Amino acid sequence: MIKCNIDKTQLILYLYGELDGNEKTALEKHLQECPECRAEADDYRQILDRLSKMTVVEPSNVVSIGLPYRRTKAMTYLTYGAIAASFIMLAVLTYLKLPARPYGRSGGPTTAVPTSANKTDTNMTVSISVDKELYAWDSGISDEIDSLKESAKTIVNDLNPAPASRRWVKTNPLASLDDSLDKIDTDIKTISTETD
Amino acid sequence: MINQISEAADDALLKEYQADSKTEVLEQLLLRYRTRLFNFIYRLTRNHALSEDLLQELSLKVIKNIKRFRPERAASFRQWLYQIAVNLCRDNARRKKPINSMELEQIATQTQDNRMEIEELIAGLPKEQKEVVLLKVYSGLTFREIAETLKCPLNTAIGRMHYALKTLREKAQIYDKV
Repeated sequence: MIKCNIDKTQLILYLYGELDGNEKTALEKHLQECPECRAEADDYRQILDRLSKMTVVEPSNVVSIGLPYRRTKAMTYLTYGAIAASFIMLAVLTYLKLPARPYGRSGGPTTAVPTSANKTDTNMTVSISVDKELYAWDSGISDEIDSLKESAKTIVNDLNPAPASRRWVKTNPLASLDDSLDKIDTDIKTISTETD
Repeated sequence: MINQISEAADDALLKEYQADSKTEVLEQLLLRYRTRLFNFIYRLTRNHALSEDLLQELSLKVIKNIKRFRPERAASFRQWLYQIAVNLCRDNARRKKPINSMELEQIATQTQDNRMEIEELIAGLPKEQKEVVLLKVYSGLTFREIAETLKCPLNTAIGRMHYALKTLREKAQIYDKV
């Protein structure tokens, strides 16, 4: 029997369908004539079949991208970020409540601004609420508060965990948080300019 | 077995995300590869918890860099994902984190037939061969793409696969006789 001198790596490419037309035809012809290569190709085919049937292992549901459930650096930054954001919002809203002249309306509005940042192992919340009277207050500042409220919503959305089936990817909370803080900074400057 | 993924659909989602930055689109794009990437990483690290951490790290890298990713100038999105996965696994191996070899035994109790055998056989392959085999199983990349991903010549990538299959065949034959 004549020893087969074919490049055996061609068999690999053939089994994966990566030979071009001419090479494929030539190899198929060779396989018909060479029992050694045919046996080798059959063996490899069996191995590839076993490989394709390997058990599929699933990551657990707590694997979260962008919103890690485990205590990570990102989580720490989020915690500090959430606390910092609530302090900034508290400061801004307290500032709005402080002016000696209540922007022209007798009695002035009363404002309750409970702001908090609570953290547990799996969840964090940032909340902000303003008395309805403030919205009835025709000063123009309520628009700015609406804007702040939207910023708070953004933070809350980023900090709240998604449903288990959709936890893998969320927006980068740090980026969103930074954006929110930038927005709040801008709002503070705007309000300061208006009230000066 | 994991179904094949359409690269054209990847490109469409990628363009949509790069145009509108919709989180849902990026989520959809990454979720398509979640199980495949996890299995790839898991078979290289042999540690479930570590693989979850690396998968998470991988996604953060994608989120951070995806705006700058240009498929027309480089690899496909899929190839890019696996390149990150390979690099993370290699970095991890360099850090020499402990390997929990018990985990594969746990799988053995959950599976039937000869599946554990192939798991064991792959685990025994040299690292370079294992990378090629697992990339072929879980990424569906061509050998040319695998060579680019692993930064080695094409013939080297094919050669590693050939040696791996030879080893697996020989050991499987011994195993089958026992």
